[in-house]
Amino acid sequence: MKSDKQKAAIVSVVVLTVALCGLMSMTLWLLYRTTLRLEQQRLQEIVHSHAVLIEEFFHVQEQFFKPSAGQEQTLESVLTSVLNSHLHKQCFGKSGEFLIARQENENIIFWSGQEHLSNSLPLSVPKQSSLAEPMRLALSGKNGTIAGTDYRGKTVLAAFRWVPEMHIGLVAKIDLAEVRQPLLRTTATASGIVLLLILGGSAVILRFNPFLHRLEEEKSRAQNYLDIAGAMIAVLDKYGRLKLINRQGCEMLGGQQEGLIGLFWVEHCIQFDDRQRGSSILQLLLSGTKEQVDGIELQVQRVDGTSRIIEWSGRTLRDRNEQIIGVICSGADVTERRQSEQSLHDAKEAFQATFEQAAVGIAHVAPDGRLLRINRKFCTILGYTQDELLKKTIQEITHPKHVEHSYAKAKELAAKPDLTTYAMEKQYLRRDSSAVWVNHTVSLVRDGQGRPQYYISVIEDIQARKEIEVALGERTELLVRSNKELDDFAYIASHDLKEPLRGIMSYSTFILEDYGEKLGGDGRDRLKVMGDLAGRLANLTDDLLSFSRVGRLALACHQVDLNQLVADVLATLRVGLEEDKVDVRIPKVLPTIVCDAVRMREVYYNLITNAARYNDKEEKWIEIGVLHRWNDLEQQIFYVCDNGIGIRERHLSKVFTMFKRLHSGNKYGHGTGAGLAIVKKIIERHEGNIWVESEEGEGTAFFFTIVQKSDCGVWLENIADESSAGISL
Amino acid sequence: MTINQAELGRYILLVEDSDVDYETVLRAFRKGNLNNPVIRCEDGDEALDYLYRRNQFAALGAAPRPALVLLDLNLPGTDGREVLEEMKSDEYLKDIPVIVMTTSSDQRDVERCYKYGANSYVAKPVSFEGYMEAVQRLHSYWFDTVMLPDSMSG
Repeated sequence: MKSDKQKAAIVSVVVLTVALCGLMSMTLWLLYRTTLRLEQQRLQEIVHSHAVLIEEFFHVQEQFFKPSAGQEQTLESVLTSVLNSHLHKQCFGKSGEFLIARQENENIIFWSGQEHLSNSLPLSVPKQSSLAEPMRLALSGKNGTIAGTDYRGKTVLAAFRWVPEMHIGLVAKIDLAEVRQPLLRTTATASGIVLLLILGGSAVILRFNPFLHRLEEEKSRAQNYLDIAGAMIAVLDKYGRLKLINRQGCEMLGGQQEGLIGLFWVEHCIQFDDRQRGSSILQLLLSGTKEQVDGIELQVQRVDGTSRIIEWSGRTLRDRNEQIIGVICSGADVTERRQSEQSLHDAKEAFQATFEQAAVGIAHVAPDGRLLRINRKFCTILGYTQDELLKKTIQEITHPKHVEHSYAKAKELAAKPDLTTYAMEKQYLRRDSSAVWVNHTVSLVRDGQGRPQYYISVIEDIQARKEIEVALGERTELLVRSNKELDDFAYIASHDLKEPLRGIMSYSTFILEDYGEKLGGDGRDRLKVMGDLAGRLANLTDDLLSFSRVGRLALACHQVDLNQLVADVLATLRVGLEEDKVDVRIPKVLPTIVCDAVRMREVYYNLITNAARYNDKEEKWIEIGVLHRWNDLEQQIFYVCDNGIGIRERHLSKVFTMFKRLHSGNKYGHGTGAGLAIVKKIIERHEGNIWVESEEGEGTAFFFTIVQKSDCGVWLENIADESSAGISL
Repeated sequence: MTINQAELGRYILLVEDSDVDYETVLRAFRKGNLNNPVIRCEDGDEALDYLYRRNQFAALGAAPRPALVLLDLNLPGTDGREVLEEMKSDEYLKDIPVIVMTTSSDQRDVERCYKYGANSYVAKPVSFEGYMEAVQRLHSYWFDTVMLPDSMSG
């Protein structure tokens, strides 16, 4: 602003100076011209008067003093007289001179002169030279005035005249310099005064002029008003140039006021895409077609190249004569608002798309049960069209047997603000009145005050799953039943078959006791064998039951210290082992594992019993331990090995077969052949493997692995237990 | 049946349908010189009639209160489990010790009987020798070792 003011001041001073100088020069020039003319007139008058005087004087001399001495003498005397009269007379000015000359041959002979010539008269100047220009003209018979070179070579103003009777030329001259001198002095003085006036005047105008100040104050006040306005305000002139812009405007455009003022508004400040529209709106205002426009959205282009969305209002500005002088416009930055509107719009679109495209049915349900919004999938699941469903309530489409429960759940959700969602499986009624099972998840949307607004109900068609579940249920029931039948069979086998056996055994004993003597030795022996056979059958029955039970009963897996478990087994077998002199070796401390302790005890019991039983060595030993696979340290391999009789290779595959015995009943005790089958089953129930390695006559090693997990007890038995809790036996 | 006053408090009620088992018990008693009077009921209904002194046991003194009940589970008609359940839910009968003696070694039976309040559960040994030993041990336990309530004569 300051520089602006300075600029204006400088311009005005320069203009004023130039004007004044011009005026002054013109005046001076005119003055000069006038002075020259006056001087010329004077010189002419002098020459003329002198000529007349000399002529008259010559005539007088001729008439009264006879030309005795001839014309030459007369002339000479006249001239001498004239010259003498001149000698003492300051004729005109300092350099003013009156000259008389005559042509002799080719020379101009000056007879008279004043100061300059007095000492050197008569002076001769060649006629051909450029000097003595006025005298040359006079001697060539002309009269007039000239500014030319005199006999000294100086520029002079001269009047010249030819006196024909006397053949002489007269010249009155004055140095041009002398004529100019006062004029130059005047010019200098005047210029000085003018300059002083200008400088003083400008200073006074700039500094003290109250009008200018008031204008300045008005402008700054206006600027202040504009600056405190919240919106961007710009004033354009009638050509569309920016005349005024407030602080907000500058900030919005990212530029400085100085740089912006004077720019063509539309071309410089409006974003390219909106320029044409902006231009036509501005034209509407400037042409007066419209007095005011509002709500025009145009993007402005910031100095840094980015753009902002501005909502504009514009109004024409008119002067006193109602002529349009420009436009004032204000703009509010709505970029963020537009952006948030846009993102809101985008979010809405995204929601809409998600809502519509979701693979699950979604419904927004009013607290009173009206369906507010539903997506396509919801309609598909229920077989209605969207319009039909929107006229329904959730109660109408819920299967009657689920209405009460659903209502209670929804009410609970509304009543407990900390409850965000609930899920249930329920049945809806389709349009064709068939029921469809859905997995129904409901959450509640509350307003700012926590009041329920609507429920979001998400349904997933689980009809197929339900059908599978039903089928599975039926299957399970079937399984449970067959399992129970199997169980009953095992029960019958163990109880009802055993009872008669016991009868046989008892009676054979009674007979032996009561009639032993009558039977004789042979009879007694056979009766004894009969009792033994019955006993064996009873044992087989027991093992069969035990075997079938291993497969069905749940495992109860816990952390089990194998050292303790093996020690328990050995304690049970102690008497037998000591009798047979079997050395039991446990080279390393056994680990603690997760397994069913009762079953595992059975495993070790069977393996140890077998190892001790099938041994005919003098020094019998059994080794119990655990190995690790070389490539998997996690994997434990448990083993029980012995130096017993071993198993022939072709029998190795049969040792785990139920009731398979490799030796006759009398050799190596009375096994039923069920032990290893039960062991294998137990190991398999632990998701492990069991295998045997043996060298006939050298010994046998049984290896097994198990998978240790605490939930190994989940088995069909559990389901059977739940569904047959009430079965009475 | 005549009631010997001296033998009051020594009666054993054997509920057993199997003749051979009955004979085995008797033999075992005899061999062990145990002279407790043994009353046999062949099925559950008869046992209950005896205990409640109904029908053929209604006559005064016809059914002396047993000191011990040896109960088989698998009986024709009302079976042992029902007898046990009824006895143990009756104020008058529930303090009579009941020893379940059965062929069944099924865990479910074991659990169930103890749940109803059986005082012991014995699986019948298959061999006569085993059976005899078990009977003798039971007798020694229930009559020589433990004390029984005095109301046995009621």
